[in-house]
Amino acid sequence: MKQKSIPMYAEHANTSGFWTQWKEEHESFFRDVRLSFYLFSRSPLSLIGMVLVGAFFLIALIGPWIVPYPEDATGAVHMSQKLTAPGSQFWFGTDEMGRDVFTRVILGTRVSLKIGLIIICAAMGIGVPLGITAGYVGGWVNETIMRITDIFLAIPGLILALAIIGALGPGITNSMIALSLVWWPGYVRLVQGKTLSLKEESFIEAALSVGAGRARIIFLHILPNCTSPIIVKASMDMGMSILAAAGLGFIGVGAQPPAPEWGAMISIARNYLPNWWWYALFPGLAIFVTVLGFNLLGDGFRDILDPQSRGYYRE
Amino acid sequence: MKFLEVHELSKHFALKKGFLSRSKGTVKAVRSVSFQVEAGESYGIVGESGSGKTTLGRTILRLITPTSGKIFFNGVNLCELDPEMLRRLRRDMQMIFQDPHSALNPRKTIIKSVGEPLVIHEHMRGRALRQRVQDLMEIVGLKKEHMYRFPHELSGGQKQRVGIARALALNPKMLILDEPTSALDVSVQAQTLNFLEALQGKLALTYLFISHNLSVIRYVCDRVAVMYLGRIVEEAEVNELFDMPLHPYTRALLSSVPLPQARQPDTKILLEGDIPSPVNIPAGCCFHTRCSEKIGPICTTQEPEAVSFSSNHRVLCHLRR
Repeated sequence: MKQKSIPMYAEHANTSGFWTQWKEEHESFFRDVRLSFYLFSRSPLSLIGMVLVGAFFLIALIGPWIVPYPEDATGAVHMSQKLTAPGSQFWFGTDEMGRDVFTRVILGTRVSLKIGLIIICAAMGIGVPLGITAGYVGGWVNETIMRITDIFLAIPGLILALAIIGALGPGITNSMIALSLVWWPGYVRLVQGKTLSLKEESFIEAALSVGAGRARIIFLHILPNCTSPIIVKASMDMGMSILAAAGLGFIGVGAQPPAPEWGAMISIARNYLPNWWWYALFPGLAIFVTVLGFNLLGDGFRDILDPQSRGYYRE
Repeated sequence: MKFLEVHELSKHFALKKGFLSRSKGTVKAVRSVSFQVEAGESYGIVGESGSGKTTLGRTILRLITPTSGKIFFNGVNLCELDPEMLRRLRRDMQMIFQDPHSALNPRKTIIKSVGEPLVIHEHMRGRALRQRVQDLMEIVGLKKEHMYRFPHELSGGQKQRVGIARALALNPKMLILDEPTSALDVSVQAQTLNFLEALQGKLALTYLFISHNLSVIRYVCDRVAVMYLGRIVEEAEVNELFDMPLHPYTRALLSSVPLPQARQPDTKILLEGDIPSPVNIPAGCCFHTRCSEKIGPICTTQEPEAVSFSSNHRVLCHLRR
């Protein structure tokens, strides 16, 4: 494919050379990505999870622009239409203040997404550095970090979160802080275990013997090999943390009414069961579908992101 | 000045157990080992699993800090170097690992793995790095297209060659080969050994060849040391060792090598039991628990000293005094 290039076009030839070079260098990466997509698309459950999570993100993003009664998100009161059954005007019915449940469920998506993302990011931000430090440094550092982690793991997460909220006071921000503070130990465990097993691999020794420093080994050799289990755990935890936050809202220490948060909505709606079933059913369904979606997606990620299972699919 | 001189090298690991790390004894993996390697030769270290040969290799490269002893490499004592000096000196000394698969980071393409020493030591990047890696790939007989693959896309033999290419990147003077062929298929083993031989001639390398496979050692090495429970029990030129083994352990090892003929000799020496635990090393001669040629109570009470049989043949046995 070598062509004689006319000097005038030399620069053009050069850029095309760059692209060929780039394509050649990343060919294996794209082959892996394509394989991952193929494997993912072969599993119907992962696809369902993907669709549910995709819908969740989309609704969270465009929610405020598609809801029929945006003012119902806050403290609007329409007593004349309270507790209307689902119909063409109010798809999910209305609540005891006459607010549209559909609007509130849709807007609750954004609240849940925010809660989930913040809790997971904070938990990873605390847990991953601690886990890598414990696993890589070892010795008394490892013992100290892991025993503290054990103490946190020994206390039921929601109970501890309740205690923290008890000290900070109820509210959505405080419940996020509380849940972040109880969520990190799982990441420490995961990353520490992975780091310990990676440390025994000969490629770490090989890197040491070619003169790699500590930072290089941690950031270029250990961390990239930890990403798969972290992503899998994060996608599963996303659902669980949304559930936990809804739980806090339900018992009244999380988001406070009239904020459109699913748990807080159900907390009031349970007084109106079973006659006005739609009030509790639709927020509950939203929680259920979201958590299910993240769990299915996490399972799907686990199946494709584990390089050890690659060989199995290849053969 | 010898190229590599190991003097009374020992490595003990403390066995720790439980929450407060009480010491539960020490594993004496390497016990006052001494030997010398000339520039350009292949020095073999052979022994069963658990004899400490791998620990010895790693200690010489200072991946493990020795408990006591000295390692002179080109006259420099490696045990006294600070980390930065050691990092620089490691350019001259590289290691080939036993399991070619686990020796490569699964998330890095081959060019990244092979180029890592060049990035660290010579700060190479871009085109220069690509060119140098490509040259290295050619030296080990791989194609340019392999550079951009991930390790899981290569075969075992190819991965081992990648490992060799990485070790060669900084133009080392010595390679420590830790069972470089034992994870490979037999056909690839022969190929790899021939390649290593040719490479040694071409690049004037010194090999420290660690293996449990006597046939491989015989094929590659000039001199051999036999290790048992962390000590060198016999050391000789390769032909002398194979023709006239003096230590009962060496004899047992040699007679266990299968011969390529239908009628195997009847006089195989079978060692009984396992190698004793390096935590509780037997008193006296460490081999006396399995030795078939004990000469008396001296074997169980007194530790034998090295006896020079000829200028290049040492043995650690009461029988040969």
